Amino acid sequence: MAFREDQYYIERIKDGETSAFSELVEKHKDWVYTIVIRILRSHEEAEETAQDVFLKAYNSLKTFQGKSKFSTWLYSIAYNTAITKTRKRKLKTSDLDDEIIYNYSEDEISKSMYELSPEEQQQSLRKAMNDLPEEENLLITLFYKKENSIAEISEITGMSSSNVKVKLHRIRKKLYEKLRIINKIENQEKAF
Amino acid sequence: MLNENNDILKKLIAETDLEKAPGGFTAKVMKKVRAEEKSQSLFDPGGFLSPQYWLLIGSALGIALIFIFSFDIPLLSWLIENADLRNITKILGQFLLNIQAYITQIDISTTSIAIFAGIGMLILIDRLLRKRFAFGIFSL
Repeated sequence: MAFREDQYYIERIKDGETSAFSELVEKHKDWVYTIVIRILRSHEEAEETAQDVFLKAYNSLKTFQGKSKFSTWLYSIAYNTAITKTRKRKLKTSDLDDEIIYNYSEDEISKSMYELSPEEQQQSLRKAMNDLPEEENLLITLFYKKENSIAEISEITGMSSSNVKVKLHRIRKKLYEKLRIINKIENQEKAF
Repeated sequence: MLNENNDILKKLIAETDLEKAPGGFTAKVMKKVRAEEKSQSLFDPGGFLSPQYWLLIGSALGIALIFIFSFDIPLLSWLIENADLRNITKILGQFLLNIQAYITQIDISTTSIAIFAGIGMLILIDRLLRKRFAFGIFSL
């Protein structure tokens, strides 16, 4: 389905055409759902939360001034709503020692990844990403999949740009290390 | 800091599938939106009158309440008791007299009533101004 610019729908909604909001929901639902599920990691909770995100966005739409992209504004609501939900339960913390992170060569891991089939590559990546803490999983997804800029990620998460940069660098390192371990195990399994 | 050239991570993550929102998601959201809109139009003063009108009505009501309950108005009492009014008006009149009697009984001063009315008005004005000039974390 081809969508128009967000501003077109926003103007229609502001003019009282509520049904135009369904187009915005349709356009952004998968990304909002992805953000929420990356943090909550539960489909049941994620659906309810993602619905709440859109409801909040609808109710606050008159205050949206268009200074940033609508998607950035919407994702910040999604991020904050999901984070608020997880406040009661402890977020998963990093379990990888920073010293270990730097003890390998990225080229070596890239090389071993290219030796895998595309399906195996995706499988390894999924495993490695699922092993990341919720927030880190989301940051790397926004950066590489959504191709959000560091400034946009900073707006969505409320972190400073320099903090986002440092975190992304560490997450990348961590992912490479996790991939290295996963590949090593898989290669050992293949050898048997 | 982030070397993106020939980065296999970038390539792989870009190729991953997005999570798909469950079926009927948009319909469920719109149902909630419409329900919310309905409840807002029922309880939100802005639903059928502009804030200015509500401010005017609120002010008039506040002044009228101060006038009725703070002073002993013989004409008002005489009108309610002696005028040939319909039953419903009599009941309403009696209700007003009861409130007036109650207020007199608790011996609340005119100044206190004026203060309460003033606070009420300020809350009303605050609410209207907040709605009109809403700036919050979401007003990016």
